[in-house]
Amino acid sequence: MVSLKDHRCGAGVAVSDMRRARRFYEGVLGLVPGADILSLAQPPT
Amino acid sequence: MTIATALARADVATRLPAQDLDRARRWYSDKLGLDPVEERPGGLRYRCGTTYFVVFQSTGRASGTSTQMGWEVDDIDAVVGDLKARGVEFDAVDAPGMKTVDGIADIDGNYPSKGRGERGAWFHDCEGNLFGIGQVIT
Repeated sequence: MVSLKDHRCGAGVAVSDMRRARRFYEGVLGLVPGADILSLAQPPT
Repeated sequence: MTIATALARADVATRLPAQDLDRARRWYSDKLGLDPVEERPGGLRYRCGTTYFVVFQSTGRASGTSTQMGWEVDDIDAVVGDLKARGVEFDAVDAPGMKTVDGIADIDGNYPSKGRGERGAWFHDCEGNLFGIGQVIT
């Protein structure tokens, strides 16, 4: 059996305005997109 | 150290609300094969690989309309098959450029460091939280 406990997980945060969110995450929190991320299978909604 | 630097260096762990923590604990154990590595009143902490997430007792409820957490796996067919065998029901998605077949969708594009595409599947837990499972296509 394949167990999820052996695989990394990560949070996904939905936004309705990506440019506004990017300004907040970069400008207020000081976080920039990086390569050390998970591929989270994001649906269109 | 600035606040921004502190956040960038900090570990991140997803927080998932549960209206019934005992029910959630049973569901995560029975359906996902996950048991908490530690607990405290009102909270269960799970480990997956080198990462963690927490399920906490809450009067709130997630909308369940956007992915809150995902696992990155090497063999999505095997994982989805195992979870289905445990009784997990996968969502059907039919959107432009993304349609699930037997619970799994082929997705064009991915983050540059990840590859050229992705295969994905989605399901809800018993508390209404929406999860994704992803396999990178290189």
